[in-house]
Amino acid sequence: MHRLIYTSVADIERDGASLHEETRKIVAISATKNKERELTGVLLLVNGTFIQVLEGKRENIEDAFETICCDLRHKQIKVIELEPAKGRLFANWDMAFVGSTNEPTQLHVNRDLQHIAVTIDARPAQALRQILQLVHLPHD
Amino acid sequence: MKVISCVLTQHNMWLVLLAAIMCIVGMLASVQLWQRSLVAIGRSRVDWCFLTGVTAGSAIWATHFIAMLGYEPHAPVTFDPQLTIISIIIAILGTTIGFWLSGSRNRFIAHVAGGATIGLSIAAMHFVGMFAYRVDGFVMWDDLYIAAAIAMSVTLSVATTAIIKSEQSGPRYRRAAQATATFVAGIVALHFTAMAAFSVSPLRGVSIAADSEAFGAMAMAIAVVALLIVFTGMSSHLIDGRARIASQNELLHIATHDELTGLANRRQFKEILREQCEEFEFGHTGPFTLMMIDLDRFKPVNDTLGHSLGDLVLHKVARRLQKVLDPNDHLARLGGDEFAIICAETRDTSQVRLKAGQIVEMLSRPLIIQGHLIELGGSVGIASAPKDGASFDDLTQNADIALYAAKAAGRSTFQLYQPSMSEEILVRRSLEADLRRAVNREEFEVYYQPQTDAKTGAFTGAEALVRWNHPERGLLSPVIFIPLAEELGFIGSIGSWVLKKACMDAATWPAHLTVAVNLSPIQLLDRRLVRIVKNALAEANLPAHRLELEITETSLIGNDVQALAVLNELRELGVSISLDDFGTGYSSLSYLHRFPINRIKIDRSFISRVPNDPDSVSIIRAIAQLGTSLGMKITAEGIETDEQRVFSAGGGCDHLQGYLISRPIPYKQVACLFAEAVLQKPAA
Ligand SMILES: Cc1cc2nc3c(=O)[nH]c(=O)nc-3n(C[C@H](O)[C@H](O)[C@H](O)COP(=O)(O)O)c2cc1C
Repeated sequence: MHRLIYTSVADIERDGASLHEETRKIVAISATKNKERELTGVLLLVNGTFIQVLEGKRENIEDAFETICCDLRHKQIKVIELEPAKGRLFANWDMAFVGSTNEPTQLHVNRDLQHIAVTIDARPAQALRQILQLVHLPHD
Repeated sequence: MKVISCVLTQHNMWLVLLAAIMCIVGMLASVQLWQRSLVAIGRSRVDWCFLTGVTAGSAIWATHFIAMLGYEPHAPVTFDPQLTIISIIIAILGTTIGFWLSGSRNRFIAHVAGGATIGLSIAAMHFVGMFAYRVDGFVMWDDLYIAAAIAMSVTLSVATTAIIKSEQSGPRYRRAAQATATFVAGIVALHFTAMAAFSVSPLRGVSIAADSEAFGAMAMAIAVVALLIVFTGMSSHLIDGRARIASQNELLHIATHDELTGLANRRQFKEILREQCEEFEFGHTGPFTLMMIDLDRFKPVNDTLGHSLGDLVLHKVARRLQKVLDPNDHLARLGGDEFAIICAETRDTSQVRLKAGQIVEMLSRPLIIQGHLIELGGSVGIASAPKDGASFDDLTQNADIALYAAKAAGRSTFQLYQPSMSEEILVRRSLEADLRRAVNREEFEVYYQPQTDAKTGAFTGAEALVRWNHPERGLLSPVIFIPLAEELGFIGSIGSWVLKKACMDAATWPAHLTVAVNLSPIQLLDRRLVRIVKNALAEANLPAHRLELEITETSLIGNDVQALAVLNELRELGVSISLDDFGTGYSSLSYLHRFPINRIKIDRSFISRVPNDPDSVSIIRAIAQLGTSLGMKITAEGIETDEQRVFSAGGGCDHLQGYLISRPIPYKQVACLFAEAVLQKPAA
């Protein structure tokens, strides 16, 4: 069991599609593909930056990461961490998604996302804990 | 004609028709197999001949047997099973031998012996078959017809062989058709002529005719079995043909493709580019673009993680590059970590830039392979036809120049070719040529920069610094030519020359003075280094403790194991090791503690900022303290002012070096300086 965390910058405007709409599509495809590979994880979208966590068998993570790296809808892919993990943190999600929006009710989510984006590089463990809280938050 | 009347009056026409179909189909297949057997070589020729023999023999025998069943002698007929079986075996083995002989290179053996064997075995099969044909009646044989039958069989078989073996041009199938017709003619002629030689008068009182219904069923069964054999033989031939075409295609693929990535190889790339240039010349296509791609940092990956992992990297990189391509683009691997793309349709530079940018982006993405995180990068050089040339040579050369420029611009970028790039390369090329000559003629000089004791101000030794005495450009600093020498592989010979010279010079100095010589990271990896040092010391008769070798942190990073081994060996010789430019790298002192280092030289960039910059002040103090506690000596480099000297001496540095004390000077001057100092010392 391994866990991969990486960040990247969305490169979607080029296609003319709205960022959020395209991201929804990515999440939908990812969820089906990840189920096949027995991967779980989460995708965050913070002001045009993706933060993704993938967990599962190392080979399967490598396969998924390879298709992700062949995708031109994002750029500047940076691996934050690839480490053995004791268990799944996102066992219930083939691919959870949290994105920042302009919804006033989502203010706290936006703030958390910002914080995660800023700290993920230097303190991945702490950021991961925060992501976990965010995903387990009751969504309405 | 007796033969024709025999066919017409004494035979069941349905069975004759069946026999005819059997014969034609069988011979068509046999001729195909026969032709195949002629191109087979070695052991497989025997196999193909046998397969042809089984097919032809079975078909011929079935033809004969069915036709015989169609013969209506108006008398009861039975068959001797043993002789019947023997007749099949004769047909199969006899023709097999004939087919095998027909493959001989000797024309006489091939045509006459081969053909005759086939003809004779058909005849033998027929007559043995006739002996198995037991008819209750009075049998008579006409010798003349027998002879005629055998003669026709042999003649037509020889003719068939000649047709098959003839080297006349023309479509293959026509020859096959001719051969089949002749073959069929031989079999038919033999059969009916031989039947004409045969006559039966029923015994009186016995008038039961042959059971034609049972014969008809038997004939059908034999036809089915024989056709099965024929089709089996034919399908092996077809399968073989398909396999051969497939393997020919595969061979072509291997010749034109790179085995590792499945991309076009250099050969195929050349062909495609040449074709593209021609098409353009004839106006069939518009502007097109050539991109040359080199991976950055691939070699260290290959060296440290192994070739099989390196191969996986190349494979994945190739897949990623393909994602950026348009349908008309050709991607090739030219070898090693070099790739090339021919973009068949180029609209404008912005499109080229977009694609090149995507390629650079793709190549800069991390790879994860077997748990290893691998960070590569790629540089791209671009030449567009017709702007940057329209011939193969111009385009490849200019794309290479642009690639070179991209690498010089710091890698992980792309560059479009510009004519000015050629000039820069020319300058560099001439410098390369000069350097080559300089190495041969030893156009180098060693200068020395003296070092002093921080407390007493007395000389302790000097650092040897190489200068290139360029015939036109004067004295050149190592900063200009050492990187070039490293790249061209001259650093080893320049380095050993400097080492030898420095040892010789130092041996003439007063015995308490040391000499420091710089080692490039490449020298440190050279297995011969220890021996070179030993020889230099021995030749100059210089005690090892008077030689100090200066290395940089970068030599240690990445190849610590080998570096450690070499440094330990040098230390055993008695040579001391100092760490140059300290503070500019990433390493912490505690990490460096693992290495046998005697001295740390604090980089001039810190010294130049003291005593005013508090950060530099505290860094120097910390380095000096920690270094001293680890048993190392500390040298402050780049001392230019008295303030710096005072601070460094007070801050814990043991030795000083810099313009304030002396610039680097030639051997003669430094020798004088040292000699004077020794003379003055007792006086002082
Ligand atoms: C930010 C981002 C995250 C993605 N995450 C995943 C993922 O977790 N799993 C996955 O299979 N594909 C993921 N994809 C999508 C893949 O890149 C790819 O488009 C998808 O798997 C379809 O693959 P295919 O082209 O092989 O059908 C992601 C793409 C982007 C841009």
